[in-house]
Amino acid sequence: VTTATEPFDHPALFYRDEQEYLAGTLPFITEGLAAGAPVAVSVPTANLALLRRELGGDAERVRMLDMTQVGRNPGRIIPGVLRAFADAHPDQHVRIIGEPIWAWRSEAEYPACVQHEALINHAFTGRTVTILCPYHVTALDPQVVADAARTHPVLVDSTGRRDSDHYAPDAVVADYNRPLTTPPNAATFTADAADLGRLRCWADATARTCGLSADRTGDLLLVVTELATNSIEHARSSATVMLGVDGRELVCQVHDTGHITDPLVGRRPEAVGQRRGRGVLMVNHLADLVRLHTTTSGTSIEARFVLA
Amino acid sequence: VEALPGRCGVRVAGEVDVTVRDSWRAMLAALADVDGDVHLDLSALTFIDVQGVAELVELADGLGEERRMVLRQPPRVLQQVMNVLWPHAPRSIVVNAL
Repeated sequence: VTTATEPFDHPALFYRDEQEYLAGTLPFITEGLAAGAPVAVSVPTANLALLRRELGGDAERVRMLDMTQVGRNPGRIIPGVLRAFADAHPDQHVRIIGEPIWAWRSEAEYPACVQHEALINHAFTGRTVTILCPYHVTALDPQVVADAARTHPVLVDSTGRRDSDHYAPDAVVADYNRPLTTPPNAATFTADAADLGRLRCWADATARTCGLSADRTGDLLLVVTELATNSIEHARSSATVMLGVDGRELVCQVHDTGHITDPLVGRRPEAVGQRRGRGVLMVNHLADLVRLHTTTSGTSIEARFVLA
Repeated sequence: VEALPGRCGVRVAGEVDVTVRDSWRAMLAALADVDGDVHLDLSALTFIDVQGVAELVELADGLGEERRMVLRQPPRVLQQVMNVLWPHAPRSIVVNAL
């Protein structure tokens, strides 16, 4: 498929200040509304407030979402935000502004963010959808801006719109498929199918000791069960579960000997017809951050939960 | 698992995951074979995984227009999985908090 015939449009918007932000986003929204197109905006808190103010009454006709909440875990954005909105309007040219990368994204979050941006291209191939992704180029690391030119086929800035010479989304997914660091204080439980009940007892006690709330511990128990079940059923491996604390986050890692070859695992919103993906999809919805490292010799998935 | 007196249904206690996958599936299949609404008292169910919920939804899907599946006091985890993965759950599923 060439870009000339591909209906999916995924430009990055490089902005330096508020004026350039509004010049790049407001016409995109208002032209969409004027054409009767469904429009959604999912951007960080301050930019959401800025757009709400500028749009005035038009804001009521736009689905407005705070990306620091709905997209806190980048793995949730495709199924929970972008496809959720696009799939609700299957016969129309949907317009979405999605700003998933901001300057205060942590080192742990960034690889998942940039992989998410790369995978959008696969998730929407063939769809008549436009997703405009603003990048605050004066606040972001230069490497982040360089990566945006690899994850977006088209770049927009104050000088206009051009094709990206560096577009290579699969290379980005591979480059950021990096080994995960296990917190030095982590405890380990190795589980086979018969051990899942004991695994949950152990995870429950360990997470509460680390200070995780009762509700979030309930979420964690589903997460460890789904990830360990995938290891046992799909990778035909035991599951090595590790729980530790990194800063203000509980880190849950599940290691097995399998290899995940589907880059969109856990990012398709349909519940039907994807058993492994369904568990990871649930994990993406529950955790504050999900990271993946997968090779032919083994897979590690990490889910993080912020400690209140 | 124990039968509910006077109606087609069962009371389920404990946890549903891959270790009881076959018996969970067999129990649901047996309920589908009986006429009338299917009642599941889940007040003592402490955990259910995604595949366990998937099989409940499949059973409800197969009940047809006339029959309902009534879930009594399902655990929070079941509601969460339904909300995320089956937001358009079959109309035949009725959640009863009492």
